[in-house]
Amino acid sequence: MTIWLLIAFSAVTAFAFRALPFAFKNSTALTQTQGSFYRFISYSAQAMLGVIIYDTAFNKRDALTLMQQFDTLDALKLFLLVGTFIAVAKTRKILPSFFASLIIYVAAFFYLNG
Amino acid sequence: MTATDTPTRPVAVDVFIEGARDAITFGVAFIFLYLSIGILSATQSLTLSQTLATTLLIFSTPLQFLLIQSYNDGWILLPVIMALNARFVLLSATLAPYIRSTSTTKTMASLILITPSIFTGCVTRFKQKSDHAFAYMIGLGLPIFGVSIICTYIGFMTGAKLTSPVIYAAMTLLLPLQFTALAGKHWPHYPEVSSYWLGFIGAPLLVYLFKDYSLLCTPFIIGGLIVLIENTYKKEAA
Repeated sequence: MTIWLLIAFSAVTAFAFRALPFAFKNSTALTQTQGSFYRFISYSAQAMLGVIIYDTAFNKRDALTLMQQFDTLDALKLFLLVGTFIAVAKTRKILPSFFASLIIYVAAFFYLNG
Repeated sequence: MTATDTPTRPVAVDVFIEGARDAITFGVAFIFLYLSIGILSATQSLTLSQTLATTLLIFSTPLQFLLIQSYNDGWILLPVIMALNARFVLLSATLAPYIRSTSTTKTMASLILITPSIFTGCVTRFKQKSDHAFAYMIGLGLPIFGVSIICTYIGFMTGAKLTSPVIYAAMTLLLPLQFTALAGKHWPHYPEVSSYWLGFIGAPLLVYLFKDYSLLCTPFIIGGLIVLIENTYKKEAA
């Protein structure tokens, strides 16, 4: 299978999945944002972001592998993520804590890897 | 007609500008991500048109990384591609009530902008203000999409010259920091915040159960659980 076929298949399915809910945009399930179905979808979307974040930050490691390979940089990542969350929740500003955490992480990476 | 249009149009433009301003927060992460996609494509022997097509037509970082790195695996990738794209249903379904008054043509043309980052920016804003939601989504999404295309091109043209362990180290934490900062903005909406962190904590545990489809199944388990808890709490309170 050529790369072009894979790109075409990915593009078509991405478009279809993005478009699908709009076919039901006027249905009660999607218009009542306090209804159980909409809340289920909305919370599932937030949970999905949590899964993506774990997978990106910790390279999709399962719990056992993470515990076995847990190092200083992993601990720092965890600390910075929780710290950024608390800082934004308190200050309501994203950029200062975002950049501060990023600079701390890059500096630690430099230090630990010579 | 003029009387109703005159006050509406500047507000829509203001909201568009508000979205574009918020795009700066996200643009930083996308610069690194799409430079990397360009660089990786060059090192994996993709052509410039194939590389740009992945950003222009798919615009999904995990899927683009997968395609670029593993395209030699061929048809085996199809179920994984389906699973990775299925997550867009959740994002679109959550955004749909806010932009449902927008024409179908405009909505279809803007679908490419629905990504986790743009979704999070929109939901964070719509929880507080939902006026001119479509203008905000376009204002936020277009600059990010534009920057991503440009960075894909620059990354491809510079090729391996830009590779550095620091870029890759920063990349591993850019998106997590960005999403976590946005989750902080949801505070004190406990169900949203709890869903986010349960997804984070549940990922390394539920992967034993769902294997390669963890990204697809884990969120629904958590979403269902939170609704169940919330409904029980509401019943008791009533």
